[in-house]
Amino acid sequence: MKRHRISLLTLCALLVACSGSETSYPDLSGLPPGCVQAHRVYADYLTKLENTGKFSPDQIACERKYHVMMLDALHNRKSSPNSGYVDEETTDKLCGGVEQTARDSMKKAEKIPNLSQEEFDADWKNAVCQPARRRLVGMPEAP
Amino acid sequence: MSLTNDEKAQYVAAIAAVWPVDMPNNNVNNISDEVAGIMDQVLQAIKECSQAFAGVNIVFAVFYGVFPPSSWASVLVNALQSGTSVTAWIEALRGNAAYNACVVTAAANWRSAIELALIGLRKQSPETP
Repeated sequence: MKRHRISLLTLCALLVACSGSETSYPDLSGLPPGCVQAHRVYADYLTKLENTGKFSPDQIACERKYHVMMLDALHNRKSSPNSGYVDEETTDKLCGGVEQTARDSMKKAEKIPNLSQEEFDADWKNAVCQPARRRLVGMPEAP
Repeated sequence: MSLTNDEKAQYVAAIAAVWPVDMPNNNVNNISDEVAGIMDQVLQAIKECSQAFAGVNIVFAVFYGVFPPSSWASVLVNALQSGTSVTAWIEALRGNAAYNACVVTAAANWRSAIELALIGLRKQSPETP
């Protein structure tokens, strides 16, 4: 019985450790509805990329970190140091563009499993977590 | 790749933004797949170079998502429909000392390639890889 309890504890610890790699997204309340929707589509899109098995966990983690950074920027509604903040309506509309781009890219991603290595390299190799993005999210250079 | 007129118009706008002067053949009739392919590389290079800009200016977030380089045609149209544009993006980058270099470098690297492509001559590679 005691051994079983230890095994269960070990299992729970493993589950917690594994789930630790998952991204926790910031609170979405306060974001315009279009941005909440864009976030969901974008998150689904990143999951789709992950599920292709063509990208390393490291690359996906990098993109998810970037996604969180963008959500923070949307929360703050920064436009530029000089021109202040973007109003809610404009932010909502801008997020509509992000959502549509994520949907368009999702359609492209659905074709990834059928791409040859050359086609994959041409279209996707440099699309996911480029060196500049890795630096931006504070991840070390790729091995 | 079959481009719509709206997409061709956005490539014209992108070329005009990256090379504001001396691009006499930049019109929708000359936007071939070849021209679009080169511009996809130009815009991808500018995007990669200016990653951090998205974090300080959400107006241009649409240009910084994850999408394959060949998706720029739809991104340019999506941007327009969401109230921004490739012209505004490039102008904003030009207005920032840190990111202006991204545009200037890409413009220098691909100038000959885009000029030749606009008149129907093929030249895929930038001057400096």
